[in-house]
Amino acid sequence: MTVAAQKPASTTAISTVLPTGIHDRDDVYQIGFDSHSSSDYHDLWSRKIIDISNRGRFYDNEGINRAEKSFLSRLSPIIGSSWLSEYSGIEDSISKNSITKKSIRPSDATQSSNSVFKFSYPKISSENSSALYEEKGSSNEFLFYLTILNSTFDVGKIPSLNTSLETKSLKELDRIFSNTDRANLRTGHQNEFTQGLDSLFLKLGEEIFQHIYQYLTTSNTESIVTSAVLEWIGINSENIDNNDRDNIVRFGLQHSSKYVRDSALIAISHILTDKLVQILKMHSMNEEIPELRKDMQDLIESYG
Amino acid sequence: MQFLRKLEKKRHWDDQEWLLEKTAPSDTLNDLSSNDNSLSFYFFESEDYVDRILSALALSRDYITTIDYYIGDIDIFESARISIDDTPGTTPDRFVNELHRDAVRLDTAKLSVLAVKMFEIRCVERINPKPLEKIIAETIKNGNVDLGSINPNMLEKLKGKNLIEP
Repeated sequence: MTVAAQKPASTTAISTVLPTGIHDRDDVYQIGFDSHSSSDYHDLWSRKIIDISNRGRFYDNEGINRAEKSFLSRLSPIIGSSWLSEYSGIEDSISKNSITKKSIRPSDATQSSNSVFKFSYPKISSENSSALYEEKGSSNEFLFYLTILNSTFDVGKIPSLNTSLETKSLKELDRIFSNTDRANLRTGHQNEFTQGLDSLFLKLGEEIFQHIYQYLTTSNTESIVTSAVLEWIGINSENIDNNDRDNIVRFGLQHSSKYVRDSALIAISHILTDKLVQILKMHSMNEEIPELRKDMQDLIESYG
Repeated sequence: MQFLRKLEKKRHWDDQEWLLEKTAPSDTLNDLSSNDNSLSFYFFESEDYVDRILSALALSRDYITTIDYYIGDIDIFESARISIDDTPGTTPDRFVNELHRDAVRLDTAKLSVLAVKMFEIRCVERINPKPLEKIIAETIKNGNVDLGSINPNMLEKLKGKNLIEP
């Protein structure tokens, strides 16, 4: 997958890309952007919305950083306390595992004309929304949604697509992930893939986990590569306490491939923090492959 | 006598609802990937040797991480009409190298029979990194490892974990 390189919104830029039209099609909205907004720009915003919303939905507040918490806490009263369970349009795909889903993945957003894209986003309950619209001077809920996102990202320190460093890092990850010879990905052995990650880790430090998380949740990474990155994370972050790292492991445990879930288990067997063992306990109860469930339980028991 | 074979992933050996009797999932063949029509095994008399073999296998890698492996009875080779050669291993543990055997002159039919027979018994195990480190520490402490034949990446890891002198 190719990571969009265009620098995303600044506060002023948003006014030029606010939706020019919004058409309700049940839970799918067709959103028109003005002709100055590029598909890259739209793609980046879509990713942001989907990424944060998904994390809110899947991971509760624990795995969310300060800026994202602020975003969610501002949205929750508006959308309603049950908004996490009402996130529309992805019910068929959220039952388990993978986070970025076919119905809302940016790459699946369809361009039905030069400037109209289609994707799902949470609806704001009408009861709460009127006050909000009044406050914001807009009758467009999506406008409000974008405004909150924009202010959140401006105020907060969310390590986002807002810096050229991040874009460079994502490009570098993309290069490492895409150019890897799958045949060389052998457990316990160094290869071009692990060397690429090692070198990026040296350059970025723990920040690499944010980028890997962002990359995995917004791209269609092959299972074999996702497994390899999880195993690399296990080996290289044994003595680190990092939220993004933990989120990647959770992402792995929720993956549709049993091989990826197993690699997440291997990562945990290296890291073995109370938090990750608790997360593993939770996931082991829902693990459908009996042999994998047993391996999870064995690790939990060995942890004591 | 029993044998041990290192697996790439034990998940290849998980049961499958759709599988017919006397067959094995094709994923198992990923763990029976031959080289020069041969497959590598370690033969041993006593279970006590398993840890030593695992330690030697771990030290032949670049990182200390989980090892998945299969343990079975060597009768399986006879029933699959597979020939065995005494070929020394290449691990940093000489004793373990002597336990090494190659299943040789393998064709696809024999490989398939071997996969099915191994899948029937399916004695698939895993050792996690922490217990593996303990075993490695023990074998090094007992002087069973030729440190000079360990690859530089692994040596660095061992130093980092204080398993050998810096």
